[in-house]
Amino acid sequence: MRFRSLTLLFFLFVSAGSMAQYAHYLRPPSDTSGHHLSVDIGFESNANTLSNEMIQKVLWGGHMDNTFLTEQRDDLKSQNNHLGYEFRSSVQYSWKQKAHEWQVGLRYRDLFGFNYTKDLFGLVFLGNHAYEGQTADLSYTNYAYWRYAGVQAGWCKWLNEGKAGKLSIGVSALYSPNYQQLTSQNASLYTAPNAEYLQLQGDFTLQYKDQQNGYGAGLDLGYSIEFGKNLLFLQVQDIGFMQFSGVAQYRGDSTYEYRGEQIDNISTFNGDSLFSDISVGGFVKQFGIEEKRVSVTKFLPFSINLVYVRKLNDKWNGSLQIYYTKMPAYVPRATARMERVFQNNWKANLGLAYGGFGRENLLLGAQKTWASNWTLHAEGYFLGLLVLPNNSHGFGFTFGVKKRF
Amino acid sequence: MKRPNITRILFFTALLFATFSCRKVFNKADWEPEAVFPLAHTELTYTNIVTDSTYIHTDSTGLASIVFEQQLDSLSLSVLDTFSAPPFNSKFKLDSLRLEVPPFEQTITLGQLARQLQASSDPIQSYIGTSLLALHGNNIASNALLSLVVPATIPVPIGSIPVDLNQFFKTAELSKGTVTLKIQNEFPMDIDRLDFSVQNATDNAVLLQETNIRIPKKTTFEKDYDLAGKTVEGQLLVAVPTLNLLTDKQAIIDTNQFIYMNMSFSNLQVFSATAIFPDQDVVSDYQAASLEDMGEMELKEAWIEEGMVVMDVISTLQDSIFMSYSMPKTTFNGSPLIFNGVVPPAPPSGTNAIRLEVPVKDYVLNLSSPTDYFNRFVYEFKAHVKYTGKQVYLSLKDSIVVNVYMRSIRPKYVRGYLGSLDTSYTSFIETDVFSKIQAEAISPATVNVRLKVENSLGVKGTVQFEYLKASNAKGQSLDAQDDQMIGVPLSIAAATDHPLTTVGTLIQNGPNSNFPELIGLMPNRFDFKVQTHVGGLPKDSNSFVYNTSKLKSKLEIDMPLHLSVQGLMLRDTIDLGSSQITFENAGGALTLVAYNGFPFNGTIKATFVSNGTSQQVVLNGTSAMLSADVDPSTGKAIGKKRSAVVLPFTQNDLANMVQAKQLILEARFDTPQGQKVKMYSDYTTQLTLTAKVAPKISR
Repeated sequence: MRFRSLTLLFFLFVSAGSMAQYAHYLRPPSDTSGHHLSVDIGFESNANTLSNEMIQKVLWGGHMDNTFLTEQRDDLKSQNNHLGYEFRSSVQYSWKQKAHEWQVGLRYRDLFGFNYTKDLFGLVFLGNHAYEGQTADLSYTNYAYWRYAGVQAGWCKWLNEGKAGKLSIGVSALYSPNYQQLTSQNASLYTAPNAEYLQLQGDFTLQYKDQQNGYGAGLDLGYSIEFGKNLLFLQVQDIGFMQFSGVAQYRGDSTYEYRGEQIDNISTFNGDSLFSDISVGGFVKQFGIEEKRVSVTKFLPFSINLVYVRKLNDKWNGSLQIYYTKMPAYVPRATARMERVFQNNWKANLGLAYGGFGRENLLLGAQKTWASNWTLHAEGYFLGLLVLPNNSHGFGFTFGVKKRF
Repeated sequence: MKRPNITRILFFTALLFATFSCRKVFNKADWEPEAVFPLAHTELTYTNIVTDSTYIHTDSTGLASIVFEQQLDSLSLSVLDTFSAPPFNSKFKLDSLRLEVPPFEQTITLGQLARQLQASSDPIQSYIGTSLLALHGNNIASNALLSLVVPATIPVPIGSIPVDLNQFFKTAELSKGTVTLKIQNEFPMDIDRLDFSVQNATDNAVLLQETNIRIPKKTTFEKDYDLAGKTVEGQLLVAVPTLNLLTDKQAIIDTNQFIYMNMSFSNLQVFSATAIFPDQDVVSDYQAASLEDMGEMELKEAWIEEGMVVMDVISTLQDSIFMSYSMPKTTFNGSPLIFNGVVPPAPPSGTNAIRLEVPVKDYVLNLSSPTDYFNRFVYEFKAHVKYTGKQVYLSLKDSIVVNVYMRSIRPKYVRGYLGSLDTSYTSFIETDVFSKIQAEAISPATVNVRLKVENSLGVKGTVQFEYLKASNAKGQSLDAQDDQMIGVPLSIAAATDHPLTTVGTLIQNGPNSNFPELIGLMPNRFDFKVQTHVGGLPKDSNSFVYNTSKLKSKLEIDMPLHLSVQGLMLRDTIDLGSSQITFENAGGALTLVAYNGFPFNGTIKATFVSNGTSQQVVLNGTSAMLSADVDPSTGKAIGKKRSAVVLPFTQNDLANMVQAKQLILEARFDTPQGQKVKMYSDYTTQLTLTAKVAPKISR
């Protein structure tokens, strides 16, 4: 019964959210094993207004017809619609030497954050034909997309033999094969009836990596301390930068009108320019906005993870987590969990999260540790996607395996 | 502690990493947003409708017209082609020969007479003579003996006195002339009796004779004698057989006292003579000559473009003849035409000849002298001999043959009555002005046909269209009907002169013509016959013509674009470059948004052609482009009317369209039913071509 209630709760509260950086990276000072190898994968997609059905189709394929897209659009807010996803994976190997721990690993991160208006959704998915004779509001549209990977090396030290906690420092050498960013303040697009002309108004900046990959470096800092029944963990990741050369940039701060090519004399017109350049650059150029090539240095989308764990009794643990990553449309995500410890090293946890790219999500997780020092953990929020995709927002999962030896 | 199996660890790690390092997308999401966007925009003006603006005119209000002009054959008068004047051929005898001889004077003193007496064989006469010589200063009474023996009259034997005029002439056959004889008696006694005669020394022909002349002392005897018909020699004798002095015994004798004799010749004209002739005209002729073959022309004046006057002269005179031929009424800058020549002396019984040629370019030939005459010019011929100081033989039998003629005379201007000229010519005009209008039918409201005649002939006339027929490429034809232009003689005014002013005459069709129907055929050919008449009665002697004068006719057809049109086609072919459109598409539409300021409805068709005509996509507009509203009172379009003509295409169509090499745009225009509209030059239509596509986007 209680399980059904919880299930129902999943239907009601599932939404897109960020990936929780729970204490799976945490290795308490009390852990005295010499080597650890851990593999972690995590993915989450969340939105505050867009349904899981839409997100599922976008991410995993499928045809979206106009009726479906219109329904999706009509459920959106006029502004401040959030959408984002993050995919992480890492392989880390650590070994302990006395009061130090060394870590090396590989990591990969793919994340996308999008703050958009209902009209922008409509333009992208329905086309501007649906906005003939209307002005599509594109104000405060912001999005960023990152994809980067690298190698990491770190060092941890237990302070005062762990009594004063554990400090960890890591550095990463990174490269980025893709980066895009769009920022705008007041922007709109008017499509005249029968598309006589298009009028783009407002200020905006669009940048995207076009030619060369970006290269950069990041710094990771962490601190954890156990005190009594309490555990506090703070981690800041990807404090760093990425340098890109040859980034395509389009910037506008005016009203731009496009009426098609002007033909001075149709009798002598050569139609070479019609239907010729339908690229983004070609389209933007029709508005008179010129492309520039710039070199930019971008701060990495750092993340902050703060976790507090309280051991309530032998069977129950409670935790609070605050996670934030510097991405458009991402608000700090707070997660509260209750963990039940079962026999044979089973753990199960139930959590409620709010924030991130989406709204509230119900989390369900489990962990099993074997005597052979394998630990498997998984957590996710996906029941809404499975049962009521049209009325749920967000889904995610994390999965990890660790071997101590 | 068991050492970890690094190989397993690394393999396991790599497997996991490879499996989960990338976000997996199992299938692509796809959707088909409907995008609409403008492709091109342009403005159509009326020059796009009527592509050839060569024949498009606009008036001050901007109303456009198609104006077609065609020069018809010009007419010129042929009077200036021929202009012949008869040769002036005349043989002149000398009019007269004048001679001039200075007077002969002789003085005989009393002393000379006394010596004549003294030398006499008669002793009484000898004694008288001696006594007279001795009595100088005394009278006869002072000598008693002389008083006794002297008779009442003293006869004086003078004998003959020679008169030598050889230095002036040898012989002269006088036709006319007078000799005046004057004898002045200064003796102290009267001449009681004088007998004398003048005679040729050779043949003793008596030229004059007097007897019993009494000349009192201190008086003069004078008398004229006619020499006409006499032949006078240069050597003359004055015979004085008797000279008796009346004795006056009381008269004081002065041996220096004399009688004076003077013989003067005047008005001597000869039939012939060998003499020193003074300067004189021997021939003077003033006559008129008439032009030949002038037909009915009566010319008063002619300006010569080119030509020569030639004079041949043959003379028998044995002296140089200075000739002068003038045409006093033929002038150049006011100066008459005169040309002179010298014929050298002819040999005895022979002739001598010369030829003179004088160009008469730019001379004005007065052909009306006196003013009521025509085709006639006057000339004057003079032959002149000059004083040379030498004796020559001249005779009134001598002659000068003069032949004057005009050669290659061509006038550039003539004035007078030019006669009449009738011409008739049949011809045709081919034009594509109207047939180029690609329309099924046009129906003009009005068509103005004008015949513009420019007349630089100083002759009035008439032009008449016998007929004017229009025909088109379909074989349809129609004869023009107009009660003011067809079959009606149309008066043409004459040009005016000084300065030459071409006079234009404009003849326009009347209101009841069928020219709109004629042009409605959209003809490509006009057949016509024109009759022209210039000059004729009543005679106008002030008619004129220059060698550049012509009667030029120009036909003008003016069709204001106030008409109804059915099926006016506008076609434009646009070469297309390669297209980058490669996305999948579910089809879409091109839309032509028009703000139409023309008073035409239009239907649009777009044909995309690739690889010749084997592959083509034809898009037809689902609706028509609407005509602008028309003010019914003025026929002018008001404002603009918006239309959106949609040309839908399918997915397959787009695939062929992007491969097309050419886009053929065809528009058919029709004026609103039952309405004739006006085409103004300020009409425009703004066109925007937009596209709606639904590309399939896969991510």
